[in-house]
Amino acid sequence: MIAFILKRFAQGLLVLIGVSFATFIVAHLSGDPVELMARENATLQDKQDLREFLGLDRPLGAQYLSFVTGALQGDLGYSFVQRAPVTDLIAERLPATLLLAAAGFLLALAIAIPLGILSALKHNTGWDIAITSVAMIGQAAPGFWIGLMLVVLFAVEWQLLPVSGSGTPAHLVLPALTLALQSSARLTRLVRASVLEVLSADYIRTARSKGLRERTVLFIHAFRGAMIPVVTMAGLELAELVSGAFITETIFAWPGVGRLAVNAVAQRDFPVIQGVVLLAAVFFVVINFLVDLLYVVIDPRVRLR
Amino acid sequence: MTQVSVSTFLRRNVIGLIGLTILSVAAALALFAPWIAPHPPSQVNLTARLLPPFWVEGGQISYPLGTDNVGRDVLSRIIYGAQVSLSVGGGAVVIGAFVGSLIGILAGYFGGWVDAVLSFVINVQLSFPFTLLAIFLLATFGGGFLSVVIVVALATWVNYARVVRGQVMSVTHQDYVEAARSVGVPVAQILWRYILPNILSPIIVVASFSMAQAILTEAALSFLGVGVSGTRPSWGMMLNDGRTYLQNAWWMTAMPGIATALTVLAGNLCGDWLQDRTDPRLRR
Amino acid sequence: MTGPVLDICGLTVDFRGDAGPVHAVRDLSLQVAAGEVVGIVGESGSGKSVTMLAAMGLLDSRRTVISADRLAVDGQDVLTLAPRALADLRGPVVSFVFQDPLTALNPLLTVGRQITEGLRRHRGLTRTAARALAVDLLGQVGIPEPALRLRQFPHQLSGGMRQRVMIAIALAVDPKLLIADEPTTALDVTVQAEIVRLVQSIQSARGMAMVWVTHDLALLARLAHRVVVMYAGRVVEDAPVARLYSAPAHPYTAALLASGSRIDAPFDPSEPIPGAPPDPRLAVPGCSFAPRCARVQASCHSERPILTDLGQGQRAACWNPVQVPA
Repeated sequence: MIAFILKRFAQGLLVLIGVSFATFIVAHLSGDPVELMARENATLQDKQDLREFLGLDRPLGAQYLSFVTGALQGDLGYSFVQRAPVTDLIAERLPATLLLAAAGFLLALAIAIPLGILSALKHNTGWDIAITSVAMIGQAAPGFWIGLMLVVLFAVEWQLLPVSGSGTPAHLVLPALTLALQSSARLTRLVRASVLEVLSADYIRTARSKGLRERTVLFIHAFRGAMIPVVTMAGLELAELVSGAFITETIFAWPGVGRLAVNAVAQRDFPVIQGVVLLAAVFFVVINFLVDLLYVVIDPRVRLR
Repeated sequence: MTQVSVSTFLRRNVIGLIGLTILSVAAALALFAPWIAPHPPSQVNLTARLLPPFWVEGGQISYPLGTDNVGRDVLSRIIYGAQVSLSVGGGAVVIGAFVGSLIGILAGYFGGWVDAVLSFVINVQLSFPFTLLAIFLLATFGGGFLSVVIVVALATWVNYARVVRGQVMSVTHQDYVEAARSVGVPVAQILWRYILPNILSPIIVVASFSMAQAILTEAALSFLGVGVSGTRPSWGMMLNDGRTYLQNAWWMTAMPGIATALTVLAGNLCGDWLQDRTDPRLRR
Repeated sequence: MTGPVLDICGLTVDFRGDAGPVHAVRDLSLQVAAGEVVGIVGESGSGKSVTMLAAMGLLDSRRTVISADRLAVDGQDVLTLAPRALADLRGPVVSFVFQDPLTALNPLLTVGRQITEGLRRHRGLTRTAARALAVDLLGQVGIPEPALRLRQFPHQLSGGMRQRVMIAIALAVDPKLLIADEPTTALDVTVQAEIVRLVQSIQSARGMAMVWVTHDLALLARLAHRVVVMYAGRVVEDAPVARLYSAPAHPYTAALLASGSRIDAPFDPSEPIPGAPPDPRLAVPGCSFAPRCARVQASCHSERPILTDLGQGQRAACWNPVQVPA
């Protein structure tokens, strides 16, 4: 077990290093920040001075190293466009994004698990076909479009919820629902498949042959086994939510990190982009690692030998 | 083989048939757009701005799905939009499949450190918030058809690589391949004779799904303003246009969204069906 | 209780296939008396496992069609019982031991939990009482350090030990009938012998009835009182064990015995007899074994033979049975 955890940890670390390197390279490929920042009538000398000041004349390796050491200490650089440290800019908005992602995630689970179980138990009946069809459509429609349609329905037609912005719980509903619907479409189908597979396992037949009540067979034997792949997938979905919430944030004017990033792209604000990308990747790796740890807890086959 | 009646065939394959039908319709729309579309897609008609679909009060039958903010016919733009979506999707699939499969073959066949390095690259890419990266790349290096295709292909190659790698690995470890290797059969021949036939069907399955994914990604990119630019309408672009008018012209958003969803659904249905048909575990 | 523990008459089991029904069991009749050990032998696909699963309602009801003139367990009609009542029978009246203990045991629950849950469900024991009983059971099936094993998971035990655990689970609530579906097929040869010995001693100690399904004729020689031979979903011969081995009546039984190398050596089930069983999707007029039979006659192809009494407790379904000495 320890070996498993250590291995996963080392893998995660390596990936993070790779990601930080890739982020760094991409940010630097995209052009010379000095050109963008310098004033109209700046001379070559001015630009050179600026370059030295920013440390951009050092070899790439050195720049990368200082980037990494800085990042480890919580310093993600400075945004000249917004005149603030990147870390501060992100920290301001992170809680909002996390709130949205968490709400979306929990909502997605609340929808997907019951529906997935239901469609598995009643598989090939009307219920199953209906639920699976809706899930397929949910997977096919662009997430942001679902969000927009929700706005048309709830905010414009029925005037039940605000169109955009934040501040009250009512503002959270539509964006969270948008995120949730996308994820739950995938998760529902996964839960269904997982439950079906477990139900056809031999040990379910054994459980029934012992005369256990059907309730016990389902809840103690079947669902436990079915939830293991679901946990992994759910973990991945959460990671996707965190890093993918930015389109939803844009549509609903939700003051999160995503909006910050989208604006930064428009403004060519590289330090911010770099910081956000790195942060998203860190989240992804960390969440995956946590899912691995969770595996150790819930699956005795991994835990013991 | 036992005789299978028409109704049984239909029942078993209904999913794939629906998917194929929708895709064929989309392809037909794209190919024959100039003859099918009732209006030129960029024709501005300020007297016919913001008309609702014909079944809503105020709509006109000559603009069946309504018009946008400058009076362009939504239906025609959707028909022409199919061209962009399908060509980006198709292009991305071709490039992604080629690159992804190549990497998958390399990783699966040679194993060892080649595999370690390539798998590492795959994992790094998976950890990246891809869409953000895509927007960044397109915003920086400029849009245009080819860039978008490449970026979308970048999103999907990983799927091919993983599946192909797994398949190649299992085939490579079969006895007959080990034997061929030890006897000295050239690598190219082994790849051609043994490996390639075994990876074709998984690739096709992945291609179906990744086509759907590509169309979704293109829509998202266009929605964010970094998709295929120019006068050609794309569904994502239409969705973006519709945002400002969401409150009073919902059809500008609803229609292209439905078109996208249907096409993506078709891709997924075909993928599911192909998967069912080619999964050796389910073979009767 | 003088009636048979298991009373099956005219059982037919069809699976709903894509191209029509698959006839797994056709018009099968079988009785097991209290305390009797009956072996059921046949090739894969002969319907032997399906029969036993159907008897206890363990087949997927959405994909199977079961009909019978009589299907009674301990006097109760299985086909008309409510699900709750049927579940009450499983465990205290009839219990199962399945073929592959690795897949038949839940990998996520401890061994102890899987034994005690039956005890608590049927006997209402407290957790401590159930656990104590479980330790005792594990001891009875010959598992060393039973208290330790309770807390372990199936994958931590060897194949032989896992099967002993399955047996312990099956015995937990003192069944009147134990149905063992190829319980030793997935085990090593040496372990097989141990398990057979164990089951034998338990059976004679408790006097419970047992059905042992297998494709290995040799194994039944020591274990069973009576052997039922199945082919293509039907019973073709039913005789006391000694009689079956010394004087088989049905040509299929004779061929099985002849093609196995020696009675006391492991039976080789792979392709003992040339040819293959008929496609279960097709209804065959006449005897199903006719295409492969060395003693086939004209009537065999047109008329189906029925089980006839040949004396000395032996019955066979054949128009031209092997001449049996008196």
